[in-house]
Amino acid sequence: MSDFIAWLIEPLQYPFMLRALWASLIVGVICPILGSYIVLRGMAFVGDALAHIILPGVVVAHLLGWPLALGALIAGVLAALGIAAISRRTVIREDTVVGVIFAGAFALGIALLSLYGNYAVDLTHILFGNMLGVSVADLWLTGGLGLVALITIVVFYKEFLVLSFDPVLAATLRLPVNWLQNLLYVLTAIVIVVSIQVVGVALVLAMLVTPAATAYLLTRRLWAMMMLAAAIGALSTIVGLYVSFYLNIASGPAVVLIETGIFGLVFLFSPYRGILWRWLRNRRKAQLSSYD
Amino acid sequence: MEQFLTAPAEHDHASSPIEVEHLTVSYNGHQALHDVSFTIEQAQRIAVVGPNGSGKTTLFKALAGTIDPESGEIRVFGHGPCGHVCIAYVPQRNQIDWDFPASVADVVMMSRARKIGFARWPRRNDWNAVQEALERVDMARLSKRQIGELSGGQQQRVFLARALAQEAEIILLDEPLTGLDTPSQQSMFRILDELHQDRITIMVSTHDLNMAADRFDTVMLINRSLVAFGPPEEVFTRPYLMKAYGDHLRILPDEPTLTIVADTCCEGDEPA
Repeated sequence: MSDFIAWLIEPLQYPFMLRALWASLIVGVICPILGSYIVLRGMAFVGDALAHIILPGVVVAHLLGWPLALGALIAGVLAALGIAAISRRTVIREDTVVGVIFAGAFALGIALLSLYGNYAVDLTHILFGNMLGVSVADLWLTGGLGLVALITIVVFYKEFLVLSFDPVLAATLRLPVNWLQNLLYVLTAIVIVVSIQVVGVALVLAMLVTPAATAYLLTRRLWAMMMLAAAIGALSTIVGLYVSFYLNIASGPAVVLIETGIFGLVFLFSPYRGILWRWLRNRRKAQLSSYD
Repeated sequence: MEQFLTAPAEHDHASSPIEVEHLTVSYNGHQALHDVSFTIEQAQRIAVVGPNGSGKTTLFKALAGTIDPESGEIRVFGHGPCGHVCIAYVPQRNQIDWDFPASVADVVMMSRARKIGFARWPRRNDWNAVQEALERVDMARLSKRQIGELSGGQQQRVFLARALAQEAEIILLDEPLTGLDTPSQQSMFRILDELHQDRITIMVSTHDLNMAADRFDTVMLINRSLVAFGPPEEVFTRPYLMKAYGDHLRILPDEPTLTIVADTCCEGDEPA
């Protein structure tokens, strides 16, 4: 037992591990809560696009010596509002337009980086995160922005719920539908910015979508889905961090792999919506009807 | 926060609940409704009938103020529809994600979102309104069920309860009877009768011409434009039906009673 405790405590003796733990916990909790709306509204593609569109913002901030989060925030909010506007009036399909912008912006970011930066190292950090390099200032920023996002979600919980379930109802109740939609996109951008240090541009989608999708399979109320998703996110980040420490695997991918593993198990075995149970239920139904 | 919300329009009860003048609505340059005019009196019960793609859903959404007309005017109790929160639109069942993580009570409570206000949680009177609405449609005992675990008739009643909890004075029901068995249809009609007594104005779109003729005092026949509007016996005549249904209509030659076989197929294939 004491061996196990020693095993648990050992990584925490390093300040960088402690900071990594806090940062990943914040991200692990906030991403799935917002991610619940993303899953229910089918916004996963937009979320992934936003994460990649942020890249040029991060690179420019990096080159100018600004805090990376500031560049990411500016790029993210602009992109969020741009995508929201495009999704309302366009002749081409929305996902096509988003795809065009997403790939173009990502290319711009990488091009800038290859021109001016220390290409390989910087790109790896931006793409896959640098959890073990979280500074105290980063931690404050992550915590502050995370708190802002969390409070906004609580304040507009029922409005976002109506918008997600039945946008026509939101319109007949004369709720500010466009404004709420913009807010949801901007929140997504903020949460992505918060997460980049921990998991990076390429994997942030998993933090948003995977625990929320897992919770969706297990719950039947939105608030329960959010709570469970946050718990799964937090657990995955902690376990992932230990795995990363002891097995020497990159920390961002370790967290995402744990989340994906939990999703896989639930997808198979969930009592309401899991594959196995559905199969058993259908088989039983078939048997019952064959007796008739 | 409240400045984001337009104040609900004052009702001018001397005006009719719905007045429509020369309404034209287009989607991507394609006209869904053309030059429609009519007036509906309070507590009237109207069946809106027409073939697939005839613009029934479009008409309802324009009346609810969720899509903008290209030209023409809609007045609800004397004002444009966008200022009102008294209009409830009950969507077709296939437009709803029944796997959504929400209970029956959650769905009904959604219609109170505006009244509750930003950053606030439901209060006692909101819960009472939800409970009362569910009791009226006989769904109170299933209020904790997830909405996907209900039968079609129960799902339809939950959405009717949602309109009641919204305190709607005009309820627009889009194909509420499609896919329901006869007992469920009967219980829907029982509830609609009660609402009629409460002077609520009700418009129901349906494919079922017999139902429209038997159960409604007024019928609106549309096919992109208004073909006929009045009591069923005046609307369901050979020339009007031919005009609305064209090739999809077979009129069997056993006069004087008119036997009609219309294309009554399929819910949910209208634009938006």
